Amino acid sequence: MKRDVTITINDETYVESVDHRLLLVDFIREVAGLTGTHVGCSVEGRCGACTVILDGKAVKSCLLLAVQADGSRALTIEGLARGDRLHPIQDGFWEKHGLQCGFCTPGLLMTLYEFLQNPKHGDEDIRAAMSGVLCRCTGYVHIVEAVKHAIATVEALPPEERKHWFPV
Amino acid sequence: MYPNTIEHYFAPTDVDEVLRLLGAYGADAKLLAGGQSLMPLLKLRLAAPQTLIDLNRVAGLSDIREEHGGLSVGALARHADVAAHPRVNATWPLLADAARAIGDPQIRNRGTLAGSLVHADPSADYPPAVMALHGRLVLVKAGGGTRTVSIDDFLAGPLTSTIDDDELVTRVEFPAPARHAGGAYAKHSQVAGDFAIVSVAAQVALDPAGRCTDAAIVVGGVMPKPCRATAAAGLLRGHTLDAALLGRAGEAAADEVETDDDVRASAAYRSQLIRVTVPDLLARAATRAREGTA
Repeated sequence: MKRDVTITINDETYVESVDHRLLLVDFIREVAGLTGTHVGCSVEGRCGACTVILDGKAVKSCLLLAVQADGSRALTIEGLARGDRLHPIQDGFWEKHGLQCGFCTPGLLMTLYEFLQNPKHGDEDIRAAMSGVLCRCTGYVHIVEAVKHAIATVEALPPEERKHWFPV
Repeated sequence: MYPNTIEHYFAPTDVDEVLRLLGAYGADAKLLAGGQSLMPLLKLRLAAPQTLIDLNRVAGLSDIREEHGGLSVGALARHADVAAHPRVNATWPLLADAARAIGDPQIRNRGTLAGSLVHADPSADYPPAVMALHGRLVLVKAGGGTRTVSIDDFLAGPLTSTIDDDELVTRVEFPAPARHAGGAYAKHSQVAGDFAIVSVAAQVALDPAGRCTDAAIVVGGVMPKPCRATAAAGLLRGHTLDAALLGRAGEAAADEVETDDDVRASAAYRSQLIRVTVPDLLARAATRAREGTA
């Protein structure tokens, strides 16, 4: 019924005995107390608000069990900024008004974090990259602008600093 | 929403251990691969297994490699890996098309080829693609034994495949295509990344003069499982694939594939989609065959 797991989230390591059926998103929210990762649809993984980076890949954390992430390294929205400096993707959303209510924003930012490591520039490519997260406010147009802003920021960075913003 | 209580969770690291666990728990166990279909089923409690055997740590099941000119895809290869693989894109572009069509980036990071085939959703993207490429599944059994089964025999009906409780799919294998062969896959769905209302997988081989020597057309999004349009494919053999002939193949496919009404589309609309989509996909397949992608 229970199993000991060790999961590193944003450089902090959490060791806990958890129910087999505990979802990764609830480990992040309830065990680690990191409530920036949101739960939207809660069933089929359609909404994507719970997206986090797990071992370098964007995944929907409501479609994984916490026990599956034993030994893994996760990055959540709380791990994006460095001190008071916003991550380039956060800065893009800030500059281009890429959010309204903000509920889907954590999922979008984490999905786009992976996209920004090897970005394509076309509108269609950007829209395809964010097709796994539903936003009901913006109509997506401002988000596309935000992503373009972030791509320009990231591509202007020297390689060392670029690496600094994408540690996993 | 939450899965029912899961009594046992195992995360074996090799195939022998999976088989030992299947021997001990098979009837009450579910194998967990990418989990992009199974986790929703668990949360909806449409499935409530006592035991979960997590395959994600099993070594040697994730690779994609060429073998004797054919393609061998490990059961745990993710959709994103198949979609990005250079040899798959060069020689089996139909399979890469299907991988790219599935869900969204996060789903493609987790979902697996074998998982999709075992799940056997009639509207899923991989089953018609694997049928058009004459894929075969390699299954190993608790207590010993290996069998290879064609995708046509493996898919039994909606959400039903012929895998036994104590079997594991280890690989999916595809024969080498002919010298000038190409394929394409596309679907119609209501919203981005959704399941197919109708999907079409087409694979053609041409002789040096551009005449069709072999063709496979498979239509997905129909019940009880993807359907081969064999009469339509038969029209093509021995002929140059011009627009008029492709149009006739679309008519033939619409005639021979039975469609049904459901909440997403009427039978008549599905038939019309087949009629207009088959020629498009055949044309794309023929272009790739002529470009000598193989």
